[in-house]
Amino acid sequence: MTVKRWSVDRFIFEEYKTNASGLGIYRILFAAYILIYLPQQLWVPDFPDSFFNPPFGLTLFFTGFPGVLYFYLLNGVAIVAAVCLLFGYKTRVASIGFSLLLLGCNYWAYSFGKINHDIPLILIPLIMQRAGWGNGYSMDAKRMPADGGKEGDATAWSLALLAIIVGIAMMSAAVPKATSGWLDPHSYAIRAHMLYNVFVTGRSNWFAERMLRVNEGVFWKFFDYSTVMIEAAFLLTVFRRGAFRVVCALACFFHLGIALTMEIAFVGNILAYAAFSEWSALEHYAGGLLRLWNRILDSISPAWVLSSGVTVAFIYLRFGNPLQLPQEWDPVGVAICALSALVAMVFLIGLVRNWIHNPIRSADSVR
Amino acid sequence: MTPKQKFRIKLLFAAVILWQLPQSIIIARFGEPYPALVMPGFAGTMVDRDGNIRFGNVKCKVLFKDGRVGWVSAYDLLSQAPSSHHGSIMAHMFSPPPVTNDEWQPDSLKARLFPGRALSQIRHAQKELDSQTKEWLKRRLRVLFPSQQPYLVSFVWYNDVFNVNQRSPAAKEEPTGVREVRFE
Repeated sequence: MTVKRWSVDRFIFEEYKTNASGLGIYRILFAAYILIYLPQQLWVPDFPDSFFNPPFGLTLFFTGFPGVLYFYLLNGVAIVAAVCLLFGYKTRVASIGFSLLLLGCNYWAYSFGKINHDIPLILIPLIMQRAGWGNGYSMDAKRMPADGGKEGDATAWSLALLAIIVGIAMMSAAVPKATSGWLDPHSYAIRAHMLYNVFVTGRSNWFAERMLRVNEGVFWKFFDYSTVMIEAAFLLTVFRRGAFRVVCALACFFHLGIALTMEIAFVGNILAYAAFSEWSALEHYAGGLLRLWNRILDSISPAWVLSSGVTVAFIYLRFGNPLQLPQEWDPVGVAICALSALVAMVFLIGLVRNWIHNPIRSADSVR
Repeated sequence: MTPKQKFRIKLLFAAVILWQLPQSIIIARFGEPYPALVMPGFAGTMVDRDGNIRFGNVKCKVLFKDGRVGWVSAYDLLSQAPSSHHGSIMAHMFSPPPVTNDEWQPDSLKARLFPGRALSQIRHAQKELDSQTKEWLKRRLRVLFPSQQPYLVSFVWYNDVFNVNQRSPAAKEEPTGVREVRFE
């Protein structure tokens, strides 16, 4: 009994310990992506209320969509929050605010009978503001010195919570597959879903066409089995940070495959896995850039951050986000998936190399 | 961190884990809620009894007043919305009305509690498309076929059937239903 209680405490309060500077770098990367991602759901008012088909949730109580102004207002404030997040100004308020504003837009966009599974983009800021991602490389950190290591505990439990949320969410994808024929050696589920994606959704490309020419059952079955296994592995490894990070790295290749063949870039998931990377390693490789970032933080004022946010919001909402490409497929999302696979490969190669040189210490190095 | 704070955090973890049970019940009873801790299931293999891959699809035939015919894909018709939404919107708005009428009664308690769901069920079951949707459809066709006057739109529903034993996947079409929308 004592051992069990200890292990739960160890998982929640110690297993996912990390440092504020690494989380600070992660926050900058997250906010940078959000500034490419926004504005969102401005298309909703193009459809009349007759298209309203709400899921079980808040919009059940309504009978139609809000007007254009609602989406412009929420997106405008969300863009200001993202700029605050980038510079780490009022990080907690900006994180919570961004999550709620995105949720406020998504509620309506997902009231057409279809829900896109980008929930990690909403959950990450909500959880990471508790982890202390505003305590490194931020204006908040410059204004308020770190509080004597007390943040260490908070960091660990927040990341453990994110890990268990990712594990549960991915298991919710694995179970329906495992129970609906994906493990049947005579049916090829991924091939069927790719055909649907090409012929119904209209997402056809060079990779999908080449892949669909393959008629070898072993080829398709490998992908069916490995998809179910990788999705289930998150929850099965969540109690060991080292193993969980390996699963996150392997999943980056899985998401790159989906992005290339089905043109679905699960950037929200990639960003959630990225929370478990040791970003403070960049201090060694890109120390100059981070020192420059700190100098920028020294030279800017809260008023400058807020006015920059308002300017960016005006440009995005008036002329469109210049970083969003007009293609239906998501080149930025595919690029992020490719980059994540590259980082994952470097991580896994390092892990194997460590294991070859020193198998006993390799379990620690993965952490 | 005090023991009380630690206890609260453990409660939060327990709540996240325990929430999965009511969430599963909601999904089974009412469909996927939003927000929810769920990732896309991509359930099933779409394989029929003969081992063929089979799934529903739709194309849209437009008859113009001058006798010409045009074809529009769901992709073009709904290009304002993300492509992930196209299948669901087409099925809800333009599929043949269901044979069995299981819509909520307008004066029932659940219809009054959840008017959004009640209205969407009524619209899905209606034999004639409502005027708002008709007007939207007319506007879209005006954009897609400028200078032409549509008078009949047929949403042709069919199953794409792929013979898995063929070298390259080619679809055979099996019609499943048509929904017609007539303009004045």
